[in-house]
Amino acid sequence: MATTSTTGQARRRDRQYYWFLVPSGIAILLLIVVPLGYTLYLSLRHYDLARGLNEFVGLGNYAEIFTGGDPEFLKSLVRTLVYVVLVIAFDFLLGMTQALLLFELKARTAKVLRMIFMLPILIIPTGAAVFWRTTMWAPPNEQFLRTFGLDGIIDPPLGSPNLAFWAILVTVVWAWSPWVFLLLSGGLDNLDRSALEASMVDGASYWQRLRRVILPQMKPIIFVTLSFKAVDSFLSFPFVWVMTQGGPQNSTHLMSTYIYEQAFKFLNYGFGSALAIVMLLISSALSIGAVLYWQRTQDKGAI
Amino acid sequence: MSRVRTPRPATFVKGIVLVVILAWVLLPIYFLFAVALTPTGTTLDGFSVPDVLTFENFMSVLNGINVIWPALVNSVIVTVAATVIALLFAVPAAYALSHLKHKRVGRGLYMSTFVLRGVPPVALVLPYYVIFSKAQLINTMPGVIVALVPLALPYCIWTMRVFFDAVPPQVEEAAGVDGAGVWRTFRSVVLPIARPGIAATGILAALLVFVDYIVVATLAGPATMTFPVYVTTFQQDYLSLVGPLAAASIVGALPMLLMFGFSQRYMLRLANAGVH
Repeated sequence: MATTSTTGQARRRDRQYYWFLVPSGIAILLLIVVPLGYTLYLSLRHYDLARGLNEFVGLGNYAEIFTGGDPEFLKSLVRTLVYVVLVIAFDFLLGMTQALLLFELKARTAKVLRMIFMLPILIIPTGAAVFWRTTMWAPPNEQFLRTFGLDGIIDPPLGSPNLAFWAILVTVVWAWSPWVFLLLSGGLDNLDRSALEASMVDGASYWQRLRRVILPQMKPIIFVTLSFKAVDSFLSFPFVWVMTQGGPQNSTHLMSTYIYEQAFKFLNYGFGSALAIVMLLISSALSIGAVLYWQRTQDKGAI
Repeated sequence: MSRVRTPRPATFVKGIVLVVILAWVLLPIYFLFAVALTPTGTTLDGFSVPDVLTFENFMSVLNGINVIWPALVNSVIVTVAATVIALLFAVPAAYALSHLKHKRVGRGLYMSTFVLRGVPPVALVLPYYVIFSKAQLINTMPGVIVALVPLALPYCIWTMRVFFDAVPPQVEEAAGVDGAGVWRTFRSVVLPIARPGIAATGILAALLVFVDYIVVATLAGPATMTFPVYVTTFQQDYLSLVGPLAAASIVGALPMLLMFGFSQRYMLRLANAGVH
């Protein structure tokens, strides 16, 4: 644009664009920033409806969190990070395998398979969670165990502190990984076919092609897809809440469900708010990290 | 030994992988249908096809004690309203950020929408609940809608900039030469071009809102609950209610299918959002 207009005009135009940001700015301020400010305010109080408390305690809630007054929260924090890594790893492996399988098939077959692969996301997450909980994991049906002939040999997984987390993980990957598959498959279809064909003429093996041609070209889309997925998993709530409410013995709590339980089950809003602020800070730090990494690679021209 | 005639172990491996993946995806779907189509209280007998098939679960969901319609109607109202509101705010913002992307401020603001997307819903639902309780907004449609907008807004801005980036600068320059101001260029030249992108973003944002559980479960009540919350009300006595639940999940897959069907062809561009 600067080529056709003088810099003065360009600057005047730019200034007008800032007006376009005002409505969103106000909406974000009112709907996100102000409520978070209120969370911060609540976090400085003992606001506990179960015990009838409502008084200012300064940083008391935070002190309790960080001096080990609440080991369950720190455990849920670690568990959330493990959960994020595992969900991303499994979703990526499964989604990428599915996408690669489709990539080599005839268009019509690929279309049918794509429909089949995406079926699980059509079941609403809470529906999938209740269905898996009742029919796949719990007796009398316990179809997942029965498929492997394990019914009666191991106890219902959702009742066991050692297995419940893994049962939820299996459910989540089944229900929500097609999302990753769809995005990766879209990215794969957009690859530069000529480089691929050249490598096939060279007689490169499948793995070589995958490693040298396909994956490098897909790096940006993989990065974007997985960082979105990471955010979603970090904030994940419905599967755990619907399937176990964090139990048995707190063995499946993620940060979201733990905070939710503190606030809405134990009515301890002040302490819950402090936990929510801690989670917000961690989440923001991770997002900012991703953004900075992004910009750095963009500046280098890698993405 | 010609390359063409060498036996391909790779094809064999791929075949096995395909079968395993198909079983992984389809077996639970099969069990879902099996449960939905068998009478209340029967247990499945492994993989064998159930002896008695019935539509009673579907009837109870479509026109019986577990009737789905109020929740589905609420879902549609809430989803459309929250998505449209989010788009009204996000469209101009994304357009502006597309023009300001070479500026530090513009880039910073754009990146901040990604950070806002990471705000934990639980950290928002908490103050909303306390404020709404005082303002008598719990279990009201306006309350639920307002609280759902922040789920969609940052996402919409983030995703939509790409579509404005794709509008050729020459088009806008031509409009500028013709004397159209920034606003008129935006409204009559850019918006029509970007409409498919706006629609795609809207559908994906609608999906985000449609599947929300935490916000609605906390702020809605029996009269305002949406489909994802309604589905969890089947939990109390799950032996007798698992059939209707499965039937409801299958019925509820139709709106999801509609939304995904529409978004399919934009999937790639959406996936590329933020890369450029």
